[in-house]
Amino acid sequence: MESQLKRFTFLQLSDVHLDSRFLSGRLGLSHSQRYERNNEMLLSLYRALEEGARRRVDAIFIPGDLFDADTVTGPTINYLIESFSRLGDIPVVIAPGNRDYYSFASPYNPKVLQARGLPPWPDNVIVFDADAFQTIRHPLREDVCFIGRAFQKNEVEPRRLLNRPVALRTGAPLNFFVHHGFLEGYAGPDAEIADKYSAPFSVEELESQAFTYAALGHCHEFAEVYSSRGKLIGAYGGSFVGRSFEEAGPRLALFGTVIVGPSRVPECTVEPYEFDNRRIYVAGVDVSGLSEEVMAEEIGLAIQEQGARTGEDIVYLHMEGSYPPEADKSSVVERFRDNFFHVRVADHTRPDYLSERFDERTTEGKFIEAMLEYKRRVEKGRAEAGLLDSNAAPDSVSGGTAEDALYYGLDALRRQKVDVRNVD
Amino acid sequence: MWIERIELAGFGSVVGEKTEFASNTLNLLVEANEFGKSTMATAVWAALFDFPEGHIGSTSGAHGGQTRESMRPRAGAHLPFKVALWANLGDRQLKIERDFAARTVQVHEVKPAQKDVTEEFLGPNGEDEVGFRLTGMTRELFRSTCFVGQRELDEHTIGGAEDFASVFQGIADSSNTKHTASGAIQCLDTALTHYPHRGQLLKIDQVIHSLEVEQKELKEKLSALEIERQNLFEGLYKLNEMGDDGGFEGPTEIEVPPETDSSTLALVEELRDLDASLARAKQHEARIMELQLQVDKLTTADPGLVNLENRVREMWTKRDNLYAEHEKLKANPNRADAEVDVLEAAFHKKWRGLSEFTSQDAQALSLLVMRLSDLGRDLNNLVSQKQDEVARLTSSSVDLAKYESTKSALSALDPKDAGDVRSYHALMNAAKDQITECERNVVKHRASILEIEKQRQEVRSKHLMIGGAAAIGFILFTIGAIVTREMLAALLALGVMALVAGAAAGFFLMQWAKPESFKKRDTEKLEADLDKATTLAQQLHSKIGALEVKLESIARKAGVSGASLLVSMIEEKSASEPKLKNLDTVATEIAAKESQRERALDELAMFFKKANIPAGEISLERAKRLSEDVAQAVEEGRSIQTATWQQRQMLQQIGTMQGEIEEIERSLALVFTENNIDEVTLEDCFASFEKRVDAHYAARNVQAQIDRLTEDCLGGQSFPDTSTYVAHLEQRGNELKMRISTQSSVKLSTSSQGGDSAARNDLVVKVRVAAKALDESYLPVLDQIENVARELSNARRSKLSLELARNTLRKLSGETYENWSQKLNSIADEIVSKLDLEFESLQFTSDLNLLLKRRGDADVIDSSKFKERMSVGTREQLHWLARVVISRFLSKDNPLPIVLDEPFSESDDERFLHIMQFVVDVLTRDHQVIIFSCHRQRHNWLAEQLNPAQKERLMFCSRVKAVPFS
Repeated sequence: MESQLKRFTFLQLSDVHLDSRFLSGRLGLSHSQRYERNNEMLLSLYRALEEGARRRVDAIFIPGDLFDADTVTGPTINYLIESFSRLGDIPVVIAPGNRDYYSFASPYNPKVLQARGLPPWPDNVIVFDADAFQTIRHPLREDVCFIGRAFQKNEVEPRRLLNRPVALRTGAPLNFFVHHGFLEGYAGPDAEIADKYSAPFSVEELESQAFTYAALGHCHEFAEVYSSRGKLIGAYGGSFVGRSFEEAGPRLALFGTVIVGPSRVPECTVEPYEFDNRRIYVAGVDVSGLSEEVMAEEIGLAIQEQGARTGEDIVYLHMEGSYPPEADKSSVVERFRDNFFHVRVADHTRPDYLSERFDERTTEGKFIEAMLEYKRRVEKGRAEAGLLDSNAAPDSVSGGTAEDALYYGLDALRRQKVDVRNVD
Repeated sequence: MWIERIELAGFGSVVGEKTEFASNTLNLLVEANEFGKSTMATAVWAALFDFPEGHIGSTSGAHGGQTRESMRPRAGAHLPFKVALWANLGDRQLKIERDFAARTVQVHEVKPAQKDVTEEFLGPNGEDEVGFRLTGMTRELFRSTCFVGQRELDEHTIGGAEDFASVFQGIADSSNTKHTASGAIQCLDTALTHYPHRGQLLKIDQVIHSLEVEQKELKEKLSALEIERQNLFEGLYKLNEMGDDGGFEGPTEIEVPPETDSSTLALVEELRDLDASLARAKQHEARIMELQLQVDKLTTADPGLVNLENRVREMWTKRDNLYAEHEKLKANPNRADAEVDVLEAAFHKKWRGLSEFTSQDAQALSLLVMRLSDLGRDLNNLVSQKQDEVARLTSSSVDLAKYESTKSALSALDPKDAGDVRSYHALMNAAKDQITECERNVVKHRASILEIEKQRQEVRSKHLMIGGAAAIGFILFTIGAIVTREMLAALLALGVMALVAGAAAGFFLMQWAKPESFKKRDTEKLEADLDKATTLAQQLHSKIGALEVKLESIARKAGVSGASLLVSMIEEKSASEPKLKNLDTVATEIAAKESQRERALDELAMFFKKANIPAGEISLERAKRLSEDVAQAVEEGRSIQTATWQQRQMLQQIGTMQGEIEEIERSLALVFTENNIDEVTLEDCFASFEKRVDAHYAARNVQAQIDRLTEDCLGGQSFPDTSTYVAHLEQRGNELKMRISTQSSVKLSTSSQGGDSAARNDLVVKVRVAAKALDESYLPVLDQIENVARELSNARRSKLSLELARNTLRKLSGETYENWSQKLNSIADEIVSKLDLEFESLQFTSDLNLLLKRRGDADVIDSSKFKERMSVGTREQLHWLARVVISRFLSKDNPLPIVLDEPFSESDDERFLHIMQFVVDVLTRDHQVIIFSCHRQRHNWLAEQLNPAQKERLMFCSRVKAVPFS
């Protein structure tokens, strides 16, 4: 017993979002690329579990959003069941999140698996299935308990679940909290997403609980949570694989170690580990005043600064500013396409027609004035009606359409050539 | 504004030079080619506006190919790349100093105060607006109107365009004056018909249609999948209800042995109560799930749409009311449009063929008839004049028949050839006179030579005689000396005498022996003159021969037998012409009038054709009748319009009502589209909207039911939902069972609610089929829907934007041309009336085409005919004149300098003089004109042709060295 108390290791991964929609339009992956990426995600998970098994971790924590319940397929569930069963007696502790919520139709429900003709979850898989916190003892270690709950719906959970002590009643010295929720003060790029503020809690609230360590999910960036005394009390591993441009850079799982020293006060550490071989990078370039060659250099530099790896990564190139209309911008961008697994360009640039003075007596001058006025009027009308310009229906005129019309007209007048511009 | 001075520190080939100009003057800067005059001209606009950057600056061929790089000082990179220009604004003198290398500009006010005023000429963001603020024009407009670059006036510059319209439309339309709005509209149309879609270029409407079809199919597929999802849920739910081997459990059956203790009995009671509560809770839960399914099935409206409900209903009611009113008006027995229709039908019936004539047609026709009448009268007068003249000439014994035959015979003779004949004939006569003179000289020289020969013979005889006598004397004295040798004195005297006689004999006999030495120089000169005269005579003979050949050639060309006859005919014609001048003038006028009459008849024929009347032979009477009928028809048409004004007003009201209906429908369509209500008709959309709003309220009611059931089930206990409550009860039940079974001998068993394995099997099949369908298609369909929605959104947005751009350009270009043409025409009238040119009017049509009317010619020439009917010089002049008109229009409040680089190089002297006189007399009144040219002789000649007043407005400028400014 004494020796068991000394060390506890775990693997933590969350927000895998298997079989989720790829936001395909924005990412712009082709059908075959999506298929390939899906397989890569499963393989990454496989590699992580294999590494956990190799290290003989004491448990694997999955604090939510392993898959998307509405779209997950039978083969994926089957793959998970098989992968988890290979772990032998290493317990896999799952706290369903808002995406893989536990309902009567959830694949977590063994009866659903039975009805769908899928094998049951292996014995080492522990799924919290109630809305209230549940406590489950480690099957092999009596000194370890797992505490967690399940989302029952894909809805924002407004309740502060940690604002009062969670009754442990375990008597075990090591209590691992596996939880899907939003830590107030989290500042990752996904913090501002509308439905993110779900099952909120603060550091103080977490600290007030008697947990040894909190394996956290829901927030998509790696973040450690320290107590007021500077001790690590929990961590978000972040999303396990990159699916969208909001999940840029390395995606991580965590290998954690809890050591209970002579003082009997557990000390936690986590080590981030990357299993997804492919990363997504976002590079922004302002092309204003740049010649084609300099533009190419700037793009190359911006991608390089982000650390994108040739041949492997997905690059989202956000271009803005104004450029000389005769510049062959598309050929500049094309130079980078073959260098990476996929390059998506969000081209918000415009030709620099308006930098010149226009004579208001000419058709061109009148056209510019008319279109700018039209744009102002449309935007004002929409604002008064409480409508956002970005949400305008494609067959109703918005400020954006008016601006497009302005530049198409000037393209035609100045260059006798119109480049249709489609920006999401 | 006018330019006082320009100083080039370093610009192209020019280094450290300045030139001063005068206001309201034609400033001529004449330099040989390659001395940098075009560079100086470029410096003028570059100093004002700077070189363009980006697209304009680098466009090949823009600005005559002059770019910042091409104008860098050629002498070396160390030289300052700067130009300073002094501009006079009347009350202010400004110095614009531009550093092209550093891309900076400074504007100093020189007068009235010395200060830096650069800020005044910068835009809101500090951009350089010096040229724009000084001229009121953009660089491109200035360059295409006030500035005329080398060879820009000739036809090559307008790209071989058949007419000038595209050139002026380009100026009115775009800062890239080579492109017009019509070209842009065509380009936008092409974009609409060549939309890039999945690797193909297709019509955008076709793309939208195919995407809409695809989207509809995908949505149908998704609906089918949603049904599968419901099947899956229902199947799972029912399986859950039925229970199965996996533990879908019913109430616990309890067998309590009699010896059971009280604490166990209490637990058993608690278990029974709990089972009852669990059963009730499960019933509630099942009902809640059913209701939840109902809610999920309802396609409810977004809260945003529900908020719009009142507005939508209000608009819909208003639309219904308007439709009702509209229908009522249309059904009115006094229907306004019916009355108008009757009146118009009667009008069309009465004036069949003439109803389409406009008041402009009537006016034009009336003018044509008047012209025809005038032409007829003029022709009669001229014929009468001709007869009188013929009578007068006949009485003056002028042989008209002979004159006419000579004239006729010489009709094939080119006027130039006639001039040549006269010249050649004169030259031949002159050569003949010269030959006569030469021959006379030859005779004279030969006589002189003979005279000298004769004199030479006489002198020779004399020399022989004297020499002979002296020789005899020598012999005699010698003999005498020999005889008297004893006598010394006699010997000496005789010896001396013999020597003298001998010497004399030698001298004279030598002269006799060389007769040619006599007047040798005279003879030689005479012989040279003789040769010269002979050679000249021969040359003149040759020249006469050559001229005779030329004359013979011209005679053959003219069909006259022999050069002498041709010469005599020309002389005869020339002698008769003064007498017959009046007759010729009258005949020319008759021909011109007849030609005008023919054209007037052609135009009248078009009106007859428009009226569907066979033209046949058009007489003045017939034309008058047609004109009167047309005038009456137009008048009646106008009366009908006046009479039906009220009715039209009513129709207009109906139109307005229709407009309002359309406006409301547009707003409704917008609301529906933005809320994803996509049906074929607006009525369907509204029905769908009502359905969704109703569904919203229905869902709200069902939700209220769910809430009541939940509340009833939980009975105030703090569980988030019934499922949790059921789970809690089950957990508690399990705990109780555990305790009861471990603590006592009470038997607990679970009853099975299912039992119908066939039904369960069916459900399992249903669940698996649904799950398989969803596994295979759900996610791909969602992805496809998203992609298609994005493509459709992009295509619709592109269509909307492209059409908006095209329609706006079309409307605005039409307005611009119309507006410009009116203003340009009044300026053109003013300018042309002051010009003594071959045309009397220059007009811009409403599409900026040019119409030209020659002097004394009723025919109006469309610019598309300029190329075939006008010389290059005239076209060049017209082009420039039109540009002057445009620059006058654009600079109405601010007369700008007009800068021309080598203009009118194709004009002949007469036309050149006319146009330069126009420049001096007219343009320099309001504008400063600066011309850069390499034709010094031509401009010197020009100066000679001008009168003193005109000369005062002409100034030859010169380039002088200047100290380069820092």
